[in-house]
Amino acid sequence: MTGLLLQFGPTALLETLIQGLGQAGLYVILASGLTLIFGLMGVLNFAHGAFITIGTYLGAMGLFLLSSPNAAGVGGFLPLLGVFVLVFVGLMALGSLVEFGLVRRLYGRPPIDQILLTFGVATVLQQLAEIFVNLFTGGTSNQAQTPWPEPATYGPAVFGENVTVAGLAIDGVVLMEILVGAVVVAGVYLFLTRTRYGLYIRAGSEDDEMAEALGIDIRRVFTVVFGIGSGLAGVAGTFLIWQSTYDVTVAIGAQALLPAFIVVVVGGLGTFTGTVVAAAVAGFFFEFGVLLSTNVFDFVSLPQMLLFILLVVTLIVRPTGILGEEEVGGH
Amino acid sequence: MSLLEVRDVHTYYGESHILEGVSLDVDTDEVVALLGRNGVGKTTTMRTILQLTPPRKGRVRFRGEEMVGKRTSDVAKRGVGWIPEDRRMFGNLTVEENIRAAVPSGSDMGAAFETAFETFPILEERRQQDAGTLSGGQQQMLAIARGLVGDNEMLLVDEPSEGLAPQIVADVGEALARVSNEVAVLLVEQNLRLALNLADRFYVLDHGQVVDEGDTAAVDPGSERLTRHLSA
Amino acid sequence: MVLLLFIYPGVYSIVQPSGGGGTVGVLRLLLPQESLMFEVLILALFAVSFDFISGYTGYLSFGHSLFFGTGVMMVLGARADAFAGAGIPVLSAFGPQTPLLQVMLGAMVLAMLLAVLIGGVSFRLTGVYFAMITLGVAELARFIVVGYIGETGLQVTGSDLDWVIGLPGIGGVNLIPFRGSQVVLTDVPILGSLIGLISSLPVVGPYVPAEIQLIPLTSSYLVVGLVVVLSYFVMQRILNSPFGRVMLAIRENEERASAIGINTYYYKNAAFAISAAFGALAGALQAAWAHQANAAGAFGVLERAGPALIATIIGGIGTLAGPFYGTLFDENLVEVFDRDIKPFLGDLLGAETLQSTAVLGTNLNGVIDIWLTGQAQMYTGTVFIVFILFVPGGLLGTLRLYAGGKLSHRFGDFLAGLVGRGRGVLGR
Repeated sequence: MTGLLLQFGPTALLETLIQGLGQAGLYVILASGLTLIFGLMGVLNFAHGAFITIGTYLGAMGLFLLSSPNAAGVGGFLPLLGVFVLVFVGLMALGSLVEFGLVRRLYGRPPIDQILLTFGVATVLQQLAEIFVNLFTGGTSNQAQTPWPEPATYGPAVFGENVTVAGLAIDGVVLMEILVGAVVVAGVYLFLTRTRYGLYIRAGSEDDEMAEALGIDIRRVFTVVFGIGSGLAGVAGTFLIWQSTYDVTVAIGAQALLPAFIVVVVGGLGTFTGTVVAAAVAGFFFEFGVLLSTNVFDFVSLPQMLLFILLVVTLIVRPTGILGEEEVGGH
Repeated sequence: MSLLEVRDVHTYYGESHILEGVSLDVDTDEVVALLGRNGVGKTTTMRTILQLTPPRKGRVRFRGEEMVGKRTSDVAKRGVGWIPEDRRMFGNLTVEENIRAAVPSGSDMGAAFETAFETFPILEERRQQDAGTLSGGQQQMLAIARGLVGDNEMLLVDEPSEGLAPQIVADVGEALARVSNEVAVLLVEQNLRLALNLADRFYVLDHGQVVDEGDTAAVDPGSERLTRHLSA
Repeated sequence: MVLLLFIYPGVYSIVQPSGGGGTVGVLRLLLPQESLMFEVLILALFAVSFDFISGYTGYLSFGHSLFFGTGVMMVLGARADAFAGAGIPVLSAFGPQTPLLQVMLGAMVLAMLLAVLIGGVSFRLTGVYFAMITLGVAELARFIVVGYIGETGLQVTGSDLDWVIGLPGIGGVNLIPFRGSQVVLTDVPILGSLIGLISSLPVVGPYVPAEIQLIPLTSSYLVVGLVVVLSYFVMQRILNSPFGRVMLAIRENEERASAIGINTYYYKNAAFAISAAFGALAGALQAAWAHQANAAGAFGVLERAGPALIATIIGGIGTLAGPFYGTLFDENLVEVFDRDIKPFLGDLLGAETLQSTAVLGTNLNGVIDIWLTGQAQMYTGTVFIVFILFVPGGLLGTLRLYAGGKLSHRFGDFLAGLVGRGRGVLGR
């Protein structure tokens, strides 16, 4: 530790810690939906990535409609809130539709079938997204696969710029991620513990047959959870617009899905608390990797590698994840 | 017309034929025991009534309404409660939350808690405790309480005394006796003495078929009529 | 079916639309080009290897691209100077002059080792974890490889594109021509003398041409075809052995298999290792032909394992031939959508019509560009979803189910063969 302090200095380390917290916030938003869906329904939702992509583009559209480039001051945040609501509601509708029309047909089949189905849905939705992007950009060249930097210039001016907080230079979007991440954690926690639906979700996660026999229409609960999970994926997608590590293309969701999976598995499949803890660990791992790869080793994929090493080591040392209780999913 | 009518029900698990034409009735305010050796289809009969394992053939009518083809939650909402084997608590939920989950939306939550805690005062003491940490007997009481607060007209009670110490069995039996004053009960119970004490009538199931039925007053636990089908 | 593979280049050259810019007939849409068949063979081998573990034990090897990538990197690593000099463990043992066969065997062994490492950790867990950890390792490998070779990838350049095939222990004997220049079959050792022997025979002899020349594509196609078909039969043999029956027992009911004293952990690892070896072989063949690769195409779960998954489901998971037909369907469709469909529709409706028909602010050309060209994945994805929901057995599995029993097993193969042969007959 002293070695590191000497090498980077306390400022760089503190900045890394805060950026790690921001990354953790992003991971929480990315992974919450996945974990809720898996915990309740036992479905490992590969379509989550496509929902993230659609969230990115829907968010961009919302920004163009509601916000303006480099919106200064507090006034820039109100339209942003509008964009989040728009994206959340839009994706919630789409997610509910996918569950209602497709995923629902597979309850009772092996979990592998559900992985496969959502993988197919992901493929089709991503291609559809590509088609729509090309339609709107007038199309002959494939705009959907080339990075689109414009949306990132919209929204609050502090996104993408360093804000000085207590002598540390932090990107405004990092602070926003910490804030929204905290809101999501608190929101999901309160939803699960304080509402009737939350109670049904927790009951159904433990024993859906018993819940059904108590008169709980578990299928409707499934649809709601799938919708909420998808809505959160959309909001996460919107955040990716300002992430320097991601380019806005239709592949953005597929890229973001992998860290989300890692966070869910490392935390323990289906435990929300585990996901929050794992997101924090993964966030710090990632940013520490960034720090090392830019200063010590010249190896660009070190941050991602660290995430996967985290996954593999977790599975070897504690296969059920940090807070997972038992093996889930059957085979 | 009985409260519950089961008519010529055939139920399968995959390809194995478990119920081969079961028919039975339960009347309002009646306690009916379903007897038989292990694996003859007693639990399956309950699952079939609840539509957890829907029958391929036959009818299940509750208050004159056909249940086959309905979802389990709809059967439950019409007033059929299930107190399953192994209790099936939501172990990570508190006692209070377990009860809360069983109360139909729109019902008076306060009244439900009153009913539950009046019947089982011990549950009030353990209100904020996770259900998974309760003792077997307490879990059984919570399971019965869940059935009580669900505005049910009938309870399907599966092996309530299984795995409990004799003293606790007596408590549970007493609780069930009180419950049966309020609602109709279909009871599966290995403890013959307990079953015959609680029930008004009985059915004996063997190889997926009803082989005997009658009033419990006419038999006693040691009688040849029962042991013929029940001893291994 | 095997025969069909070998005569395909000949058949195709007969029906091939002559010259560039000519009419694109319906045939053109239906018949894959020879170069595409080449891809199909290799990708089918990969899909079959995926099905070997996923379809027959029920453990979904989601990150199967790891093994494909292993094969690719071994072969390219052996050829690319940038790689050989980099001192990467294992790879530095190979050099530009290492015979191809040796490199491939090395790739297969390495893949088996990787499989046992991964399986050792994850086979104690349930299938969902297995799927996740294979996915994780494949993506990790991809990031590591990107770290070494960058996103754009690696390409072997230079004049010496020929491979020294070689046999282990014998050294660099060019037994079979692969990716060489024009090949005169009679000049090839052993094969040449065999042809000479046949032509000296009475009756048959006069029919053998004095000189058989093959372009590199055709000769390599035949080599790849031979390897793929051999691999297929090896896997089929394993599946029909007691070992294969244990795999099925694991898929059907692992607890019961354990209960009767089978060490399922050992069998799962062994099956995974075999599957990995053939996956690596597919990757090695592809790299040996293409001489280039990037990390995404080699290791990417969505890019490489995804299509294999789709092909397996459509063809029939748990049937060895299924993925083969699935790949044929999938790849052909991709090719058609990428290249053929626009000229075909142009011929059908007239280029004028495409240009002048206005549709929602653009013309038909625009619509085709956006909705069809390059969008095959959306349509295969849709077919995939339909299959998962309604035809979980896939094409072959369902065929066998309806024909019923063991006999149908053969019947299904026969029918599938007919379908394949039908293409050939139609072509003629």
